[in-house]
Amino acid sequence: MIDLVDAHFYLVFVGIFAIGLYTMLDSPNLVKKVIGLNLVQVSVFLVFVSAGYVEGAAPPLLTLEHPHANPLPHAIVLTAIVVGVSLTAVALALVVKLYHEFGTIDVHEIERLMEDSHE
Amino acid sequence: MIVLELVLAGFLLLTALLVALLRDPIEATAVFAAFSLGLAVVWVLLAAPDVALTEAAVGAGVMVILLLIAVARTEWEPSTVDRGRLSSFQGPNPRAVIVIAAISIPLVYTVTSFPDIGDPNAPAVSQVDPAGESSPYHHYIGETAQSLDLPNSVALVLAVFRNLDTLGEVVVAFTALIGVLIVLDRTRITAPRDEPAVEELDYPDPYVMSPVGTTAVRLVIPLVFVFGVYLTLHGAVLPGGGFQGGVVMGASIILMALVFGHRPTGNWVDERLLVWVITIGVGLFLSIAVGSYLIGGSLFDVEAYPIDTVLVVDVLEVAIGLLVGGVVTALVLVMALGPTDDVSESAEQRGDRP
Amino acid sequence: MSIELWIVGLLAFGSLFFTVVGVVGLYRLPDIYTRAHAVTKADTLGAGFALVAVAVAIGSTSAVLKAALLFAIVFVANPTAVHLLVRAAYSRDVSVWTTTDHQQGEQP
Repeated sequence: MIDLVDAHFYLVFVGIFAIGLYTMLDSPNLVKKVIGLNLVQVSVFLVFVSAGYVEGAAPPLLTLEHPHANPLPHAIVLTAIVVGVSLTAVALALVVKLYHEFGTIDVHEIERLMEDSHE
Repeated sequence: MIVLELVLAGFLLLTALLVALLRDPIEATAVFAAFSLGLAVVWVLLAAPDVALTEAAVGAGVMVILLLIAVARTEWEPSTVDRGRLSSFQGPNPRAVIVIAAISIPLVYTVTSFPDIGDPNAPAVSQVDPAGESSPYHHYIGETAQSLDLPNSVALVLAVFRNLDTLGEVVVAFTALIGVLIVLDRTRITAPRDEPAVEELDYPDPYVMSPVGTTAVRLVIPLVFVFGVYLTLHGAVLPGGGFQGGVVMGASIILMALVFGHRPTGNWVDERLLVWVITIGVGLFLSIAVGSYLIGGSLFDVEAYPIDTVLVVDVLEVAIGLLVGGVVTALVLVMALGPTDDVSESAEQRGDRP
Repeated sequence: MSIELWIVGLLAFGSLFFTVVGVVGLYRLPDIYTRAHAVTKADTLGAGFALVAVAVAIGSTSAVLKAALLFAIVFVANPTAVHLLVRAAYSRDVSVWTTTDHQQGEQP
């Protein structure tokens, strides 16, 4: 029997990961694909930080009492969040540029327009 | 406590599902902001206040503003015609659901074989390894932090143990700004004063500043900026640090851009100042990295300096804060300006409309 | 049950009450202008009660000061944000709900 309650943030990770991936696959809207990418990214953060948590832990400040949460995943996630916002900005700049070129952010439309221009 | 966790988990899944199913990107963005705030509370529950601060400032603040700018600069016509109550949701796509299920089922299987969250004997958090010796975790959090007198061990990891990772992150943020500038075909962060404002957002009238908004923002911005400085300088002692402080400082400028308009704000901040802030941030970081090598330590050895290590960490935090704040502000300002029109094209347009 | 606990409980209940009123208003009222009215007033009050509850529960001077500062910022930021939202809606000619709409049965 799987202990659902103790693992629930891991299960939430799977849920958010699946939903984010689904958004990226299914939505024809490029902005929504970027949001889906963010959901996937955030779900991975959830695994990292959950793995570093100890029952009844205090934040990793030495001035507080034992036990502390593991600071390593926190530091990695901090860097990853800022990398994530950089990534989002570049992706959105590409979306805006695509709209500037094609007049739409629907992937199917853009594919059609590209095929037309090749012929 | 367990009730709160379950409610939050449900909230996260529900908002994520809404993001996936809502058609209109503006609605999806709004729900994504709510998702990020819920996530910030989850980080607090998981004893990660540093991550929570960053998530609240980045996820619910800067990220949403970037998404809104992208939505405002593009148009989205839902292809279906009926605009009834339910049609703002997208129906599930069976093929995508099958793919997702094929990925999720092994993931669930993997995840349930992990040690329980919060288990003190789990390898990730255990203080004693199976051989009975102190684990690396114990080394990180206990001995080094104590000997350096650096209470916030997240800052310790960022600035001492994994500072090359942080350097990589600094480079990524810097590259992202260059990338956005290249993609949008701009050579400058703020608009040149003579560039005519394009009618990009279909406002019926020219935008008039709201007196309520400007008054409130004038009240709040100094507080927000000072809070950012405080977070940056206290990163070694309290939750916070360069990332959070930088984003909060950048957010105060972005707030100004939202209310006073991004062009006046860009001109007020001045491109040269932004470029200097970013350059000083990167330069400070790199000079600390190389400096320790020059005075006889190894590369990026913050303990090699003859001054207090906490002070070196503080300088690193300030460097990160300057860089992150500058980059975040510049990203939003450039995105708000949008792509430049092709020179020949705009010349033609000017010819058409004398 | 100490008196302090009762005060905190009452304040938390007040916060919950006003937030629920705000949510009900958001759901039930017909257009953005009336909804903004419900959300701004009720939510600001709800957040205020919650912060006072936190200040009483923790009780230290620094906690009270922080709660006061947060309350001041919420008090300024929340109505301003909603004001800007409504202003944008008005300048984009989002139609105002009137009683005739109700008689025609267009809006719930």
